[in-house]
Amino acid sequence: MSLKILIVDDSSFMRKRLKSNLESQGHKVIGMAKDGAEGFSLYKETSPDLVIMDITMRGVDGIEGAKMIKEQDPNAQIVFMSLVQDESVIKDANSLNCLGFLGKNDDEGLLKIISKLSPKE
Amino acid sequence: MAGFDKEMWQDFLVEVDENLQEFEPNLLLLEQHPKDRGLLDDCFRNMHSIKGAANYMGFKNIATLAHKIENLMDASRKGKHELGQKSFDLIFKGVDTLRALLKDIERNKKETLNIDDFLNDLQKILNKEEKVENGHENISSSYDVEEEAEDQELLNIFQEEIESQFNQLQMLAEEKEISLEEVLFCIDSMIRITNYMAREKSFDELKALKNEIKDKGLITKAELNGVLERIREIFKDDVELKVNDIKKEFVTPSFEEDQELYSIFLDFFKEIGTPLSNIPSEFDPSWAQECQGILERLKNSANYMDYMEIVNIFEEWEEKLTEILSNKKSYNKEDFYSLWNQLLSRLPGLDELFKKDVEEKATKGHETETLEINDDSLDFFESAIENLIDTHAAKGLPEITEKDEIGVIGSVQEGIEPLQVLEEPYIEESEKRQETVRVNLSKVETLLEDVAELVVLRSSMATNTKVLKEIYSLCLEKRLLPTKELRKLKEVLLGFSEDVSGLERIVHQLQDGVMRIRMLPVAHLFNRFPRLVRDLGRKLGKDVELILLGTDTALDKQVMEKLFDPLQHIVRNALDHGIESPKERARLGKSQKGRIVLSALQEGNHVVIRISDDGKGLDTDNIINKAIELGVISRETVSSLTENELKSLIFAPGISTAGKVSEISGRGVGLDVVRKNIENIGGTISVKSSKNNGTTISLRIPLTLAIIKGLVVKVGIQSMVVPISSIQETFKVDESEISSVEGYEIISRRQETFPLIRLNKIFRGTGRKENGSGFYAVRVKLSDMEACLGVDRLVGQQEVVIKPLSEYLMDQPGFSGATILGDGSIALILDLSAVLDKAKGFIKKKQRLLEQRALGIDLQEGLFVH
Repeated sequence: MSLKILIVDDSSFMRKRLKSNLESQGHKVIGMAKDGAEGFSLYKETSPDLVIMDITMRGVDGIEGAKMIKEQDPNAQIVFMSLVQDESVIKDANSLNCLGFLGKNDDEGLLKIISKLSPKE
Repeated sequence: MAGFDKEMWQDFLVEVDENLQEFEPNLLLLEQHPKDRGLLDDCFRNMHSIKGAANYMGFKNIATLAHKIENLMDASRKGKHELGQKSFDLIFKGVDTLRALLKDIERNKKETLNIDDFLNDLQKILNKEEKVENGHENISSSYDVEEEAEDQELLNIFQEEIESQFNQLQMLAEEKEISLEEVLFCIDSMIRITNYMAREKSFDELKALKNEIKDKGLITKAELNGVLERIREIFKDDVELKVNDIKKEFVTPSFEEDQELYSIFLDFFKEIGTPLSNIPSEFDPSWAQECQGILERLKNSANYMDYMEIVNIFEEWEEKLTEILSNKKSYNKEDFYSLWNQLLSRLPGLDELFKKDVEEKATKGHETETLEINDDSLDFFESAIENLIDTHAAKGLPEITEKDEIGVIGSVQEGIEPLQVLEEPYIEESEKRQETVRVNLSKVETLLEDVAELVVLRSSMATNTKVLKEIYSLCLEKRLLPTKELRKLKEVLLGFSEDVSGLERIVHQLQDGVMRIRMLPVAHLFNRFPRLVRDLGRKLGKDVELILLGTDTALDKQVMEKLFDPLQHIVRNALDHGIESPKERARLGKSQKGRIVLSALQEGNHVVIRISDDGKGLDTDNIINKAIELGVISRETVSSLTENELKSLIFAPGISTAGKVSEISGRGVGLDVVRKNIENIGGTISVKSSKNNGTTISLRIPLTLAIIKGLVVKVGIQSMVVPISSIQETFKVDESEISSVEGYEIISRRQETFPLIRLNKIFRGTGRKENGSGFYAVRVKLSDMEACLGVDRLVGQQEVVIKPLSEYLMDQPGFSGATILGDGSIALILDLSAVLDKAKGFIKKKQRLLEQRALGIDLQEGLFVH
């Protein structure tokens, strides 16, 4: 089942890797953003099935970005992928009713989450 | 993780590189404002990104290193750690290490370097510099014990730390007066790390111990030895603490000198100090006398270096010898062994140099032997120095003050206004974040060559139009065509020439556009300097602020590469000889912080780069004397030279701006090479300076190397291009104006004489010249060499696109490239430095004579045979 995915990550390397991984599994990366604000505007524009969100980013970070998206669309599906290990940040992330909090290299975890999702209308 | 995927590796490189390029300048700024939250955030993020990417690639060392630096930043953000000099030194070293790791992987396709020691250093500083007052509760929470491996690593660090503090205590016990404060400091450090490692029992015992001695006010040697014994007991399960095993890394904190001085001292020691290590078992008066001589010399040198502890040891040694020589005491070799060991423990690197010797000598008795350093000991030596510097360099350096207001400095700032931009140049840079594409440079080169062909085609069309016009005029004049046909022809002709001029405009724009693709903001060049200035400033003990102006001025990448060395040279000079020591500056009423301004500004087809300092300015008298001494000018000429001409003498070979030669600059090979490099890329260099107000060196550099303005000349049937930037004048020569000296031909011109280089003679195969009498001379000047080039015909000025010569022609001196002219023919571009080289011997030999002649002192008229 092919999903439309939005990647928000400030590292071009990670964006590129995620994109090629996801595309090789038949998903479509419909947008990539460098920070939370850009992610939010792309979300409104593209209405993806899933947002993969980094946390540490210049300007609007992932937590803020996710909040903005959730405010706009409470049903938005967001998964965090970050190496941040700060308890308070993880707590913030978990409080946002998102799909999960994964390590950056946790491709399997991501796969599992994706397998449970289905495309929007 | 994934294997070595080349494409992924490239992406990774780009990622790390981009982050480091942001990180380094930010770190420099952070050093000035260690509390700046925004900078901390940025630095944190850069390391975080590098860590992420490295983790993905499976590069453990890079990931761990980035992680550690990230932790430092994070701890600092949270107020748990204060970034001090030592931290910054380590982080800068971390950046270098990261780069080294990348190179390593590039070469070996995997991580082969071992950076554990460095990682330990980082971890140590993380533990050590934490604020004590935060209490012990929240320290442990901030570190994430990630992997099992890290547990072992932590344990190692713990052991090392305890050992190090223990050794420090032992060394304190050796001293005459023991400072309780320092003892408590060591114990506190132990307490902290013990707590961090959750060794509760040891923690409690240590605290009890500390409380016992805390209120004493004084501590005796015996008591301290008791303390040491108890500490050994406390840690007996964790660490085996050896008495008297004083490690080389825990050197007395009196060393604040930099590496060079220290290694000079050590070399000296090595050179003359061997007898000191050959302590005889029975007293030997000749040995004692030898020692006295050596000690005297070593002591002087140690005194000079300010190694007071070492001086003390030498003195004690001397005293002992005198006592024995005057029969006040009897000889005990153990005394001297102990002194020798003290030297070894205080001078890292020394033991490695002497160890073998001592062992051998102990059995063999003493005989002189030369020392050899093997590679291992060198490596060790280097790391010992690193330790020394890292641990102690922070002391004794002027504190970096808050940035002082930026004002305009004397005459130095001429023409540069927007100083206020500079407060946070890097932030501004990085926030722009333009979208870019990466293009292989060779693609751009190809494009540029195509454009060049287009230029040629356009020229040829223009030529054809001219011919057509002539035909039309002819038809009109001779009425060769009926009016109707003639009008048609005229219309076509008009349209055609309009098209040609339209084409010309477009081609020009296209050419310009392609040129601009090759151009980069000079920031790429300038941004290499803050680090250089910082490191050098610290080395020299000078506090210097570097200001970058006009960093978005565009310049050809190729030009920029060729500019780095000369610029580096000039900046080093400015720092070393221009900027005075903080003390001297204070005396002169200047702000203690020196200032160097690097600015770039576009002027037409050139970029002007200025390097200004607010230092002491050039010592004109010194330069003049030196120039006379070296025969660059004669005493008589001095009065006829302008102030600026005098200052330009610093560009003559052998003349240095420095009073004395130092490690960094001042060997007199320098500015002449700089000038040569600048002139080789078609630029010019000039200097302005006023006493105590600083020096400004200006470089005028062509925007690009791909296109030059040249004078097209004909030599026989061959077209050649002489770069305009070097041409002084052109004139017609009559054979009768030429005289010859010692086989060289010379031309006299307005009381001056120049050697004549006939191009048809030095380049064979140009064919016979077309017409008989007379030819033209192009007078060129490059650096201090001037000559007239003899050519057959002057064709005209033209912008030419340089095409590099094929490889098999490259080693033919004389040409720097070729170009295609408007008529499709090929012209060779002269490499003037090679051409002038041919006449160099003559120019040099005759220089003084010519000068005297020009001044009317015709002492050696006889030489000029007509």
